[in-house]
Amino acid sequence: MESSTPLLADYLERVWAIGPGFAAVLAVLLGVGICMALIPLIPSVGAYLERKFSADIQQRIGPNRAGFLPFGLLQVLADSIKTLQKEDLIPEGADRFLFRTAPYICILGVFSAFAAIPFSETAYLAGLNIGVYYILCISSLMAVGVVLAGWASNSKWTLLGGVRSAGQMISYEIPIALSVVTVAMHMGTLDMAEITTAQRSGWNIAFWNSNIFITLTFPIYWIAGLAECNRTPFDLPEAESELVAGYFTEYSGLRFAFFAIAEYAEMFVVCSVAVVLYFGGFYLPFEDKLSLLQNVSKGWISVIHFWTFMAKVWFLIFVMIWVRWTLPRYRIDQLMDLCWKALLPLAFANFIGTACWMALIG
Amino acid sequence: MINTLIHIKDAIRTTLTGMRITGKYFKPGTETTRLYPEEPPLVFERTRGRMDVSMEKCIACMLCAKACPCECITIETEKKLEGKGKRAAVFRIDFSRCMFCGLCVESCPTQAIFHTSKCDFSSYDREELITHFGVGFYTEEEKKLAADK
Repeated sequence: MESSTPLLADYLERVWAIGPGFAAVLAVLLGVGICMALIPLIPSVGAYLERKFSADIQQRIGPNRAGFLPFGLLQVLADSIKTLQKEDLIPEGADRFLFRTAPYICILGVFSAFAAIPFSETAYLAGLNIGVYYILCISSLMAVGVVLAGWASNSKWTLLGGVRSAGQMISYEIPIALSVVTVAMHMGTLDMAEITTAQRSGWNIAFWNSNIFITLTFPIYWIAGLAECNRTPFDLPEAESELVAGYFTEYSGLRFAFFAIAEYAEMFVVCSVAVVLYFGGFYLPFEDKLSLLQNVSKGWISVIHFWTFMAKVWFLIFVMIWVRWTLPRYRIDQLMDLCWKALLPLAFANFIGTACWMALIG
Repeated sequence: MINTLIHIKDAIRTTLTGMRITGKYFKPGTETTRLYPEEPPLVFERTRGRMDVSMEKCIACMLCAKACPCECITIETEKKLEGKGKRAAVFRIDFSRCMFCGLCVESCPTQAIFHTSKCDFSSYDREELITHFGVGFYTEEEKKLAADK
């Protein structure tokens, strides 16, 4: 499976009669443009679902009045328009350049990660052979943006939030990396597409029938992933009761929206990596044995795969929301305890266990 | 080491218990919210809502007006032309001043003034909050007719 940009370039060359070099550049720009245009939809849907599900859990109804559409569907639009109208304020004494840069760095880190996610056979922007590694690295940029925002705002709350998030996000990178390495070791590759194709058969539920140690890394990945997205129960960088709103206390308007977009997009990235590594990517369970799909054309199969992938990812996001509205927030020392005393040794144990399993059983 | 494992087991168990409890409320029909303007509000039997006065029962004794701490009840009495006693020609309750303490209801000897369950009666004009219950003064013709009898 290769990335979709050469396909797009090929199409442009054939149909629109554009020169090969220009077509390649245009294909990349088009792919990135489509991605950039569609990613902001994720936080809108995410915010809407978050409000609806939290309402359900708290026995409320949630947004149901905005606009003429049922179920308050236009609430998303109303929220975005409200955010756009807000005054863009830079606090006195703030480092103006860093203050302006921080949200862009957050957005940059998260949006770049989308390039290596295989949504389906044809929706796959960059065919990287180190896809997982690339995603782990590039999404660490978010921590940089958060720390910058905390530092540049010239406020104690934001500084504390920034420092906490630096500690949290960088600590939790390690269990994530270890659990990803475990899967990569089992698969023998870091390429997201190859990891997906290897899971074409079977149930695709975290390798429970091939290697039990990898199954055990999934909870570790999941918990660390929650911490990585600053979701409750690990939302210490933005703990309302302690730090007002943490690192983005001083932000308003569009810059604030950028942080929110980055947060939800990060959720999406963490969930899609989980889907690719543990739940068979865009494949349906037992896809190689499904006789229904034999006669379907290639194009339709990739559409079905795209929506399968989306369904899996949104289910995981739903679980994230569910966890958020169930569990209370950790204390900062408990948070660090969990990472260094529980998740890290367990991740190491799983890593060694997987290695032994591969050596002894195969 | 064993303690850590016990902690992990407890953490998993309690998290799943919590998620089971919150998960129960995803079922439709568990919402307790009332869509108020569309649906009637939830009022209880003994709600101290807006007062209503039954002028058939009222004997114009002025006890409610005297009991009212906000002085929002205004009564002007008049002698009845038929039978004994008085009647309230003017009976005004100014709900912009009323605090719904219920002292008027308690003091009424004939249960003529009573609470209803109506709680939502905001208006754009303060005059609209003054409610008139009075039967009005006798006209000259009525007085003449009564005198003729």
